[in-house]
Amino acid sequence: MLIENRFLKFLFHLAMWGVIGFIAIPILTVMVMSVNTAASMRFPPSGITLDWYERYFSSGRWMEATFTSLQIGSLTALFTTALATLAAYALSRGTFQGKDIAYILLITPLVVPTMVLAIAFYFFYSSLQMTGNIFAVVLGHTIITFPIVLVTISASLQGVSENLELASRSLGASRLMTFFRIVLPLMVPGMVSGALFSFLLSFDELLIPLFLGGVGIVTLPTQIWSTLHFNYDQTISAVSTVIIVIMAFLLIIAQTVNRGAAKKRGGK
Amino acid sequence: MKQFLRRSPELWLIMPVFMFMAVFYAYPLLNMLAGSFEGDEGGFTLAEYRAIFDSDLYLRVFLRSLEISFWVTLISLLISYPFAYFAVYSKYTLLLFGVVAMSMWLGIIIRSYGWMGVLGDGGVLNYFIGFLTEDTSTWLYNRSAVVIGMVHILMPYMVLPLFAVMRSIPDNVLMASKSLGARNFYTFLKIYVPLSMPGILAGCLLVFIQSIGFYVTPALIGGRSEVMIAQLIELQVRDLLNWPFASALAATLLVITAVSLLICSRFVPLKLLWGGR
Repeated sequence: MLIENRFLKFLFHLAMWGVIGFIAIPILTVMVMSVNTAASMRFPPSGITLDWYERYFSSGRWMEATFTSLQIGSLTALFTTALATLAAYALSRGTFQGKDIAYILLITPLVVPTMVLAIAFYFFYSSLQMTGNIFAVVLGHTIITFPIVLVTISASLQGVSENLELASRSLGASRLMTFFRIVLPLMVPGMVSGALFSFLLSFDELLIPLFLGGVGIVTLPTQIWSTLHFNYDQTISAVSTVIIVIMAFLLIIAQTVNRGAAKKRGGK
Repeated sequence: MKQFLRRSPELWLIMPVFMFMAVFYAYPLLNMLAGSFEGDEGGFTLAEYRAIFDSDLYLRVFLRSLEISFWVTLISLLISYPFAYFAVYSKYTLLLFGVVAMSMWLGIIIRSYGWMGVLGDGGVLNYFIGFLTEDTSTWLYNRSAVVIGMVHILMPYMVLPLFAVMRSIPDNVLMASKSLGARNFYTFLKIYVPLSMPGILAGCLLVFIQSIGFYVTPALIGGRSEVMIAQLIELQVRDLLNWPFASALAATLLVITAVSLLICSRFVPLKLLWGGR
């Protein structure tokens, strides 16, 4: 540490824990508001209640939105992980020309603003009369979440020694067998965390379902969005708290899976 | 081609991926870009672009988006740099890093909504200000609210590359500088900052290109006078049904993003941006 004066050091540490406070405060606020008796966001809470949670779990509309989001998130994770696994393996082991350019092309969706993609997809699926179709939303999310999954799986593949494949091949296994018996099992942790990231991104994404969902497809983000604009109450806080808890849980799983895999490979 | 495939069978694996991307990603995007140049009766026209650059109103929205992105990037850097430094050398590295990485995934809408509860009329901030002075007001629906909300959401993208770079700076370098008689502050300025420059550039780029097209936070806590480009595009598509004009706006936004990316890629290896740990 380059700060030696003890008083300055104390101030610095205080400020940095303040940053943690800054990160935490809106999230904690939502959690507190979810048990507040008042229907608007008033602090301090006027009383404690679980009404908003009850409203969430007993509302057909919210439950349906939750189910739709889960469905879209899972399908997106499935599609994206399958595609990204193929691409990651080909890019890390292939010897063809233009590999670097292929990689860059495949991660460009990361830098295109989501609004631009949303309207481009909207025009595209409108011309096919496919808005309001769940697959339009899933395909849109597959494009958006593809880069991060590709990066995640590629990174995990870098930790897998190519010698294992060479050993398998030299012992007489075919390419295909080597892939399914050696490479794929070693890729599983990367695929699991990639799939989780894809699911989380899709679960939170507003613009694609807003544009491609038509009137039929209502996801949690679009339901939160319309509730915020039209009939606002603290059900949103309850829903948000549930989502936060589930997401934190999934993230911890992703982290544990990754770490366990790294240990197995001999720590990296 | 056949020979080519035999030499590298991996091409069979990546071909379907490229076909998928071509149909569901490249085609819609290029189609939209083409639409922005199409006149009412077909043919090529620049009328939509002229409409953007001739109008004070639209130019102001672009300028405002750039300004907001600039402030978001700068403030993120000013908070994230000391924070990443603190996290790298702290006893609680894993915890600090974990909080930041986790907040990145906790949802943009939820976090923007959380700021409504912090900055709003009966919000947390006003509650604490109420101890000091009677005179409280709403902190929402202005530029500071947008900037605060966006810094909160985009800060992790600054912290993570900084963290990655700082972790790789060896302690020996700093000790060498000290042992040669440099003061701490001088060591920091002349050794530490230049060594962490790739992280600074990567972080700034990531935050800037994401904030320029941001939608949720300005739409939720920004109010009518702080409209950004993405909101303008949404308005043109959903309410005014002016698709060619929306396409031209989107194309302009895309060009701004691409230019920032190209400028930055001259100074920083793009690998560091994604997955460069």
